[in-house]
Amino acid sequence: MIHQTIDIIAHTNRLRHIDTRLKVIFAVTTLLITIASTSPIPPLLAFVIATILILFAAKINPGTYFFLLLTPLFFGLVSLLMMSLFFGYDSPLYSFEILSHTFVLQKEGINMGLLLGTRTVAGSACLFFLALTTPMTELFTGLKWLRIPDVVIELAMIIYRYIFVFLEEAQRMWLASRMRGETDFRTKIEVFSMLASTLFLRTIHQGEKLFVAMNSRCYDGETNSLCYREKNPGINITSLFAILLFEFAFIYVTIKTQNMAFI
Amino acid sequence: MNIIEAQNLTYKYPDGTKALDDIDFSVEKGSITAIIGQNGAGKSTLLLHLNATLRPANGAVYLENKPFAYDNKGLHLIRRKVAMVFQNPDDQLLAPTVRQDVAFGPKNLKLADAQIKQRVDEALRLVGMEAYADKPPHFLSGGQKKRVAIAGVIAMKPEIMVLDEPTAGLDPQGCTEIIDILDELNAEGKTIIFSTHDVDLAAKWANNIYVLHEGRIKRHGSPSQIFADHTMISETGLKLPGFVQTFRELKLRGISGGESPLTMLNFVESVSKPFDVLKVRCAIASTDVYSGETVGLVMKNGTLCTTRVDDDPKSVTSVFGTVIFEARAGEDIVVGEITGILSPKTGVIHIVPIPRVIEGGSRAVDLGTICRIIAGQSPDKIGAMGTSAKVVVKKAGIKCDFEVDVIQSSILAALRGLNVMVFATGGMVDRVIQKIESNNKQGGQHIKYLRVS
Ligand SMILES: Nc1ncnc2c1ncn2[C@@H]1O[C@H](COP(=O)(O)OP(=O)(O)O)[C@@H](O)[C@H]1O
Ligand SMILES: [Mg+2]
Repeated sequence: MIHQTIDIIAHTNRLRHIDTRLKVIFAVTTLLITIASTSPIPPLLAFVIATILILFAAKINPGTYFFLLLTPLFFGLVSLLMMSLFFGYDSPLYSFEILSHTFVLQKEGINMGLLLGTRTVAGSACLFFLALTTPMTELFTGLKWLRIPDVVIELAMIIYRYIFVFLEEAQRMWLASRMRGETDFRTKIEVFSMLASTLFLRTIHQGEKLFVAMNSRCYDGETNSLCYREKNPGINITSLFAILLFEFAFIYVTIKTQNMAFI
Repeated sequence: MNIIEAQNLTYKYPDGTKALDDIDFSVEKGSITAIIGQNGAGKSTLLLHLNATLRPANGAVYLENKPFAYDNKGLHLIRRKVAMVFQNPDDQLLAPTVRQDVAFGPKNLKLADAQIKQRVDEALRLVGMEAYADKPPHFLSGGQKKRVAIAGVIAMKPEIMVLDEPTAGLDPQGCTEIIDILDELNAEGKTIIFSTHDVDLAAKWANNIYVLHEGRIKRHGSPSQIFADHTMISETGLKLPGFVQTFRELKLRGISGGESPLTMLNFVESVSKPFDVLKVRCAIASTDVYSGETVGLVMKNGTLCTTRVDDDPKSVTSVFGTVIFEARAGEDIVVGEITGILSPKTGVIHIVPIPRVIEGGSRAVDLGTICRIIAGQSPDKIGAMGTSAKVVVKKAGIKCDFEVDVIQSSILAALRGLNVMVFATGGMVDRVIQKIESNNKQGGQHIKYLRVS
């Protein structure tokens, strides 16, 4: 299961012990600049940098990373195709006919498509960097640092915790149904719907149990009891400075390449 | 003194199931109480009343002779004193990391951060999970999750620990680890109440047993009282502990006698008492022997062996016999015309106290001294009881023979003539001494013990 794999990678990769706040600052700023850029060059740059960090600094298995990239790549290509066909009107590059309908590839559209496509892929790469190097458990403290309300964080924590409980449960139920050997498509659908509804009921049931368990440990609904953190050391200024320097350089590149197009 | 008590307790689930019917239940401070019964007998329902998760329809529950108050303040007090460990740790572990989960209770008690940190570290060390502090629970095995769940309530420093089927779903190793942790907590004075359908566990571990059947208390009493009532046990769908069953068969054949045993130790004694060494004619040949040859007889590691009279004058005992069949070394032989009395030699149990985790644990111990003590006595077997003793033994690089069921294993080894050294944490020292003394009093072979300081 890919969720479990990501979780394990996040707990074991080489960048696991780098300060979460630094990773968040890097990933989020790079992502924002990428989205703000008007040329495909900064996104490409961001993609290359994120990929290098993921593969060589964090030493994450390239297979896993490229598997994750497949989805954004697909959406990037779709937007490139759509944009180049349907966007722009006064810069035709090439036209062709399918089923007596004329399609015109517009230069403007291709540029727009490239921009959107590279942004999609680069933005995803930035987020994958965060997801693959930082365990969710660490991100929660990062959220607290960003002044997100405790209620939201606690909810997110409990959801995170129980996602895995339910994944295990779902896997067990799925295996159990497979053991009993259902075969044709119809039965498969029936079994699947049954599993889904059972899982739903269990979720509700689990909620009740959670309530009892929390009460048993004197939970009064007020304290932010889940957000315990042992130490909150100061942020490493040198690393923070290095990251900010990089981001400023990146912003500079973005400004310089404003509206620069490939074709 | 009864620390917790229920009177005329009746409970109906909203769907009409009468899960508890007129239950009287009381637990003495510092004791271990087991609730046994079939699935659906009402064990979990009863336990849920003890920390006020369920409110009785009829009757009342008392904590230190005061009836439960079900308002916010009262509930807070009850739950601080009565900790609940649920059957499925996944229902209990709710934080994303082990450390955060253990900190959940202390945080609810509104303790200062430094105090929370201290309690969390202490609890994790006690259950041996400090290495997993920053891992999420889904990275842990079932036994490890259970240990974290226990740490989560230990950190609240409760007086009573209520555990619903603490060993269900665990492998034998995980099971004994959990019981060991709980035993240490009990030695420190915590009252333990647990439900189980493992009769062997209830027989050997509990001081008091309640048998629950279809929502009613069928009987309560000490393990020997409970398991002497064979009809009641089978009527309630339970089974007798393995030793009791074996004992019954042996008794019917005239091999064992006396009271029904509940542990391996009682069992061994019930069998060994009627034996007279001189009646035993089977031994193991230490070297090749010929029929008609005279050999000495000695006990080695609990078995009767021959020694060659002329080869090794030092090992010659006062017991001699004549070999009846020719045999090779290591084979069983039959010896006749035995003369002399072989009084089986028992070993000595040396007890070395180790400070508890809160008293500094393994860090307060000089490993050099430990090694010297061991070198001085050169014991045949070494045991460690309690977390910090185990850590000490591990740190000193000593091979430990007994880590679970230490007292019983040590007494059994001493009965076989071996010298044993037991490293015992805190209050467990007294427990070892108590057990040896009560064993000596029961009229078995006398075992000597020494407290090493
Ligand atoms: N939430 C519930 N709602 C209705 N009936 C229940 C509920 N929980 C348990 N019961 C019923 O109460 C009885 C006692 O259950 P329980 O205390 O869980 O038994 P045990 O723990 O000994 O297996 C059973 O008949 C069971 O079906
Ligand atoms: Mg139950």
